[in-house]
Amino acid sequence: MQVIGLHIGGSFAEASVWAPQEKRARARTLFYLPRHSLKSALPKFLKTLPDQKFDGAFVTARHLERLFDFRLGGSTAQLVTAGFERWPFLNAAAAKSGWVGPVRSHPISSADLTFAIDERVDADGNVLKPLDVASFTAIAEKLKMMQVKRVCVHFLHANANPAHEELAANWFREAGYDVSVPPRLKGATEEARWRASTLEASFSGTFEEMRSDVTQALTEFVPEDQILLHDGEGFKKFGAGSKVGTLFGDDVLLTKRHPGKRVLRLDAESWTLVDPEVSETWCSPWGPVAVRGPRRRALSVQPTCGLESCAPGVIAPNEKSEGFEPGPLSFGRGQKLMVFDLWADHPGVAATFAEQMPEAARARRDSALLALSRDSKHRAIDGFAKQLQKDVERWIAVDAAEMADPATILKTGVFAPVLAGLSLPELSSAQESASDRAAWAGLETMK
Amino acid sequence: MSRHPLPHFLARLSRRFSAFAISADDKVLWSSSNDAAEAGLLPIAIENATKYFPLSEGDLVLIKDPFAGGPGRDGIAVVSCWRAGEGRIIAATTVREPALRALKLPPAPLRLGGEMIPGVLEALGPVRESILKAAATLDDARATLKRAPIPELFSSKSLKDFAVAEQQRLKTFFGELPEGETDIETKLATGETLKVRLHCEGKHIEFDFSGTSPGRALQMPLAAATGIWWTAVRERLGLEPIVDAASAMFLPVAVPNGCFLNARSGDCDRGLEEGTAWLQWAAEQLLHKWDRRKPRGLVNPFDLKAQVDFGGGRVLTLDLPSGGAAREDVEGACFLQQRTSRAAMSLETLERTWPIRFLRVDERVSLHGKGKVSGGRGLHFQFELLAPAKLSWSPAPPAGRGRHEKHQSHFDVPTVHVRRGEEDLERAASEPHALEKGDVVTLLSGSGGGIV
Repeated sequence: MQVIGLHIGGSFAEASVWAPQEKRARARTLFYLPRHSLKSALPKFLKTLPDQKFDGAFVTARHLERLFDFRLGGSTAQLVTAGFERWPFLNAAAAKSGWVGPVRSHPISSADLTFAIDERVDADGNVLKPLDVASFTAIAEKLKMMQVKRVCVHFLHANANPAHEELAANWFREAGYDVSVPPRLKGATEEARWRASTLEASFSGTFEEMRSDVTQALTEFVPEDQILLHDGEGFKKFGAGSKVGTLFGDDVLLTKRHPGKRVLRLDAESWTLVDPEVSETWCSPWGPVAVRGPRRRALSVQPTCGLESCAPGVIAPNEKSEGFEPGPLSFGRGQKLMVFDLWADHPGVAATFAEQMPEAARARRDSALLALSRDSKHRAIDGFAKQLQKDVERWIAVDAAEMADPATILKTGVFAPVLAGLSLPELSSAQESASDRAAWAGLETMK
Repeated sequence: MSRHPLPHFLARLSRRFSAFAISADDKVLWSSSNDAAEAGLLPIAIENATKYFPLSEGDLVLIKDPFAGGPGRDGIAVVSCWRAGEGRIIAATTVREPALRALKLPPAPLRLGGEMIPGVLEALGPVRESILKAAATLDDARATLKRAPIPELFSSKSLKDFAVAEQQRLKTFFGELPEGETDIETKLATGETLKVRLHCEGKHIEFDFSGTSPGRALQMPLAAATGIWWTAVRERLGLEPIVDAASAMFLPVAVPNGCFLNARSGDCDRGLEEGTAWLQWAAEQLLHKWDRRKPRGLVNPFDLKAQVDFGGGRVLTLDLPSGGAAREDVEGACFLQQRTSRAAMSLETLERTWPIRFLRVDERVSLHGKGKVSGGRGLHFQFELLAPAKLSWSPAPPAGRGRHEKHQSHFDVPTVHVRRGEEDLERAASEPHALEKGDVVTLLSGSGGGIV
């Protein structure tokens, strides 16, 4: 018996193969998604294995995070209690707060596809204005013309009395629409619940692409009903669980595996601190979203923060994370030196990234480092790189200590072994990857 | 991002509090608040707490009086000693509770040598729980300070390095600003005259408030006025809106004795509530007159602050921000969370908690047309009262008031309408108005300035 553990991030995917009772993975690999299509790279990897029969594939995914920088909601309609159609847009998160130049985040739905519905329930659940389903016919016709197939139903106080919400949802489901209603989480506000269902609908397209890639990649190896995705609550068939919840699947496995510990995740894509405390509201880039999961806090320095001169003689990571598109200099992509590049060929991670790093790219990375060193006190490139590494480690250590007592923190992820100078002596380390955790949890499930 | 992690750590730490100040070796490192007056007052609270009481680690002091650094109104400052002796570190935050409005309290220790003072706890009455909660948050933050490697950030060497780096950064920043001199004079809706002269030469900007009138309706302590002024000017210049030791060095302020921005005694509650927007408005006008290198719309600092008093100390405060200003080719923004203090407004919670029913929540239709680039729209909140109440709100400047250039359209000012049955009731902001069950209240916050 053996299973595949698969973790799909925004830019990287990890796969590992495990059998029960064994202490080491039978095989393990990492794909850089801008270069490798999961659909072709995963079967290629599996075909190199001596035993190509698998009893299941267990998947965790943060792939939908790639949508965080995009404008969403172009093909999702919202039905909202009349008088409150603008509410989801007015109370969204600010990309920049303040009274001089506030900037709002991208909206997650389109104002043109928001429809006012004459209905009203009060805070105690009493119906003040009954719902008239006859008004839905005109809306459905308009949606048909606009080729919109997804509908979210957002009625005020539906938590207290869901009768109107259920009536509207059933009507549109029967009319052939893919309908989302807000999750019933008591600790979350109405707008956080509304935002959750809008995201659920808006993520559909990308989620479907991911599902199609994974099922096609595994079609020769695992029966489709044995490919299970963790949606924050447990492993379910692809599409059967919450799409927003998938963003927390791996964190749930992580906190279950290390109960009571806060985990400093130093992964290839992002660096975060995961708290075992379960929260019902996720502080998303668009504002609070009602979803249950461990609390995740981003460190202020991320692997894709650019390195630049911020004052004469001072080189520091930029506040903005650039992401892996186009990618780091070390991979022969992009133009800007990133924090990632400081460690990309460190002996502790070199094996993981070696395939992605052509020799010419290393030379480009070194010349960028040399150019930046001219703005600093250091003249020798090695001394300069070491100083930058030390600075970044100091930032991480300060961030982690501000968030939690280091004695309760465990570090894990690709960069955990190499960020040794964290100056947090109590920090213990777990050598495991997200795909390992998925596989282990899968083997547990199969027991 | 600065290479020194200290300001970054302080910014993260301050997220735990609505208002937060911290000083090391009696120098203000960081003071920030959603209420800019508090950013100036909290460092004075720290100064006075250490002057009146020989604090040891873990001691707590309460300060209510704004002339001693307290926030006044419905707020109280909680000052906590995080490290005593050499390298002393003191932090402070604010607690706000409607019941505090009636509380008179001289600076008083709440905890000394690890023991709570029973008499002070008793005097706090119904607000005791809120204050103990703030004290626990301060204690938790104090514990953070002991975790490796954070103590290194507060070592003498680190603090000295940081001060030098910060001075260097600001010297470079101010050295690149246009030199010059200009002044403005503005008449407030409450009758006071605010006059301020700017003089920028070399590496700093001086502000002189000579000619500003004594208070009629508004007066505030100097620390509050400078806190508002520094945070407003810093934000307008693109720096962090905080009060720190560098603010006094690079943005020196001269305020004559006796003017309404430098009151020495008396009731300054109204000044602290309404004065902030006027000072921000003056900063906006003055800095725009001085530096017009980039065309942009006028910033509207006049938010709509309405209070609905249902009696028995139950007061609902609704704080609706005005829209953001247009910038070159970017429309002004309109949304609630542009100011951090409104981050948690929830309609259904308001309806569950208060006898009101919302009828409409929307963007306000602008009176000033679109122009080339429009300013951010105001907000439109309409609700029905389900119980009698008294309504009051902060006064706004008359429409079209203030200096604006040809390329700038003026902004809408905040307004309030009350409808009883078929009748529109005319209301002014100066006094609380008695409203009946069934009255419909419409709150319209202002828009940001556009470019025509």
